[in-house]
Amino acid sequence: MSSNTTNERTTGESTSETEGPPDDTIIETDISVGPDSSRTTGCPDTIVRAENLAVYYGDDRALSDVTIEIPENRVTAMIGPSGCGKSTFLRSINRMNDRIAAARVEGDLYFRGKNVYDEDVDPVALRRKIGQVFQSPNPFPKSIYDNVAYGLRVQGKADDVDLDEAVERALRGAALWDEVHDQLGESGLDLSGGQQQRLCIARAIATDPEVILMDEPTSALDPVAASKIEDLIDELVEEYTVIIVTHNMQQAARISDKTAVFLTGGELVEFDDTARIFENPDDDRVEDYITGKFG
Amino acid sequence: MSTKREPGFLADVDLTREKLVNRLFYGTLVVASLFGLVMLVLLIADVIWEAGQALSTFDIDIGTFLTATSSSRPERAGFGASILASLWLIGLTAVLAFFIAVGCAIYLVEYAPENRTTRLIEANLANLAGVPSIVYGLLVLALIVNDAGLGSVILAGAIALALLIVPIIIVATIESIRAVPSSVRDGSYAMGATKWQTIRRVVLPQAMPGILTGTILALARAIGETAPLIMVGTMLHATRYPSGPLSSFSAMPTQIYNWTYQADRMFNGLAALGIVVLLLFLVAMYALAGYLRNRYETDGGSISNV
Amino acid sequence: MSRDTYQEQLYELQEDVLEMSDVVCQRFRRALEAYETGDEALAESVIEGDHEINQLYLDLEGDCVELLALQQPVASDLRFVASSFKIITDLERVGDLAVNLAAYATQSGRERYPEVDVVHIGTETILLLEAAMQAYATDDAAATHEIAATDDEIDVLCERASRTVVRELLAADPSDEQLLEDVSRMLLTIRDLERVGDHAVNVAARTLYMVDNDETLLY
Repeated sequence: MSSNTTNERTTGESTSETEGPPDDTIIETDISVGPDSSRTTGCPDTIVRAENLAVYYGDDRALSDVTIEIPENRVTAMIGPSGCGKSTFLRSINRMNDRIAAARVEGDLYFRGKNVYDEDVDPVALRRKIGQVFQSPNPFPKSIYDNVAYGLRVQGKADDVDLDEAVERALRGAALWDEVHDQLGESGLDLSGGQQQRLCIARAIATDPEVILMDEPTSALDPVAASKIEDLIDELVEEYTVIIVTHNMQQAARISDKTAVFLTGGELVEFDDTARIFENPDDDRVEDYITGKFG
Repeated sequence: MSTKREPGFLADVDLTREKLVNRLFYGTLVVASLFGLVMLVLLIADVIWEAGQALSTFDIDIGTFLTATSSSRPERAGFGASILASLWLIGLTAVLAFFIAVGCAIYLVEYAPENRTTRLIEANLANLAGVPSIVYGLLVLALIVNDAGLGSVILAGAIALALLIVPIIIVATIESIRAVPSSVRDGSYAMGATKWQTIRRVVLPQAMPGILTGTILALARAIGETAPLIMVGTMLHATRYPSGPLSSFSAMPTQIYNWTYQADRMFNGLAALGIVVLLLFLVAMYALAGYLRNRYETDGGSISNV
Repeated sequence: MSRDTYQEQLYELQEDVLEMSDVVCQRFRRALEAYETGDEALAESVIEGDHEINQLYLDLEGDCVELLALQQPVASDLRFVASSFKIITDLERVGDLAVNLAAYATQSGRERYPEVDVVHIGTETILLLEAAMQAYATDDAAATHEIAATDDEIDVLCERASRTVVRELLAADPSDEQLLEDVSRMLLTIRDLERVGDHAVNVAARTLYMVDNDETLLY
């Protein structure tokens, strides 16, 4: 009689090994090393999709023919050498490129199925659904409270909600409440760099966006502060979709679920699960970039 | 001839000539700075001395001087009406100039398209600031005093002064608005704020100290402008306290000017005292501007809460 | 991934390696039991179960590689992952040796050499492996040296057993085909048991490296 064995890569379940008669042995093992269990299973919807997106600054082509589907409630990282278009792509999502006079967009970019470059889409409204955190922390020269409440006031939601509560919730969500709850009236600029960046994150999530864009959020911070932000991103992704541009490959490897690799010329060379990209990329150019042979 | 090599490892570097040039240059700069300083000190010393002479020679009572109106009789002449006229002028000028100038500046920086016309306008603003003030006086004389029939009243003077300082305030405002870093604007736009919201809630509050400082300095200049007021037409003696914008007047600088040209020496003495008062006003305004600039020098400080 | 999740991943890796060792040791003990009793069904189950051990090995290997690629462990974390990587190889080999033993269990010649107590030697070696895994689980560097010493004793046992068998071979009739076969098989069995002991020492050596960065046992 043959024994009966099942070998499942179950996630998040405890181990059980039943020892019955020798010809009836079932073993379940839990071997799930890797990204947090809830994010390795499940098939998330696509929340942002680009189709043949190209962006020009005058005659320079910054982004060429990008087609990509970004999943919801996941961390998607975009890596690549300087000037390869990853920040340009990020800015295309919330149409911050509109603010650059010489920028010209071709192709399509869809947010929840709607083309954000359609005539009837107001970029201001779009940016109320998509928050952004910048490379250098840029809190307003206002009090901490007013910084966090800014979005709510500007979007006209200040009267509908309990501002104090909303501010507290946002600061807690950004892991900053404990440090500043007794100094909400102080200027946001008096905080340390890492705290300022978390303040900017609090500001971004106060209005409950669906997507948070992060443009190299930790490159101006020391490693300890950066690590705190990385932990924070891990928590944020439970509620939001995070799209992060980083020139730190190890950071992308640590925190992201999917990675997109851009190379010079604004070309999206490869987009796949992070584990796949860093263990066995398809494209030789990606391999060269990741192993440091160029760029 | 062989060159003698001296011991010491920097011995082959000869700096004597450069050092001499250094010292000469430094000396020239010091002299130039001292020149300005010395002239200023001399000026102030002279003014104070004259005023002191006037006080003692003519036995002028300061209280009376400050409160009485002027008159053709020097013993009874005072500066009060002129001071009030100047205050009225400054107030009106400020109101007229500030909003027009700031509005114009906001438009030019934030809304105007980047084309030749805009650049032309901006370039000419600096030119306008250099136009001799008497020209503005002539303009107002023709249009407001005569054509509009308002006569030589405070409002006309204020319009002239406002025209004079609007370009100055615009330039200062443009600079202050441009000094607001784009990172902060980006932050606001990324939050889904409209252009006006960003300007009102972020840009203007941060630029305001610079704008206010520029305005105060411009007003400090205006308070001492004589030529345009003369063109507009002032009274020889400010014999009545002005009751409103449509009163005739003689402001501080014009009154001083008129007193200086009187034959009676006592009037000259009164003029000296008037100059001191005017200078005190100037000092106060510069102090206020300096205080504001210091207070908001650094990036810190919550300026607004909206 | 946050550093908390990273710590969890390291912990899980260790748990999974210990899991695998439990499975392997259990299989080996079953093989010993089959050898002793001649239970064919039991032997079959051990042989069939090998692919499962191989699968465990491949999965854990993949986990180690992924951990290295995505989390960039350094210092003690790195030694831990590198050691775990090597240890699962040793475990997988012991799994293969268990299969061999199970195969021998159903073949002839077992009763021929009562002086050669296969079960006893086998039990000693598997106990040694379990002790080594225990040292790995508890970061016990001191125990690793003892394990190396104990293996020397086991080597002696095995050598003595081999001598016994060869002596009999030399004294016997060269035309006895069955004897030749049995002797070969017995020698292989003894060698396999000794190998288990060697693998246990490897595990101990890797553990010592992992805990103290001490390479003395890694010869």
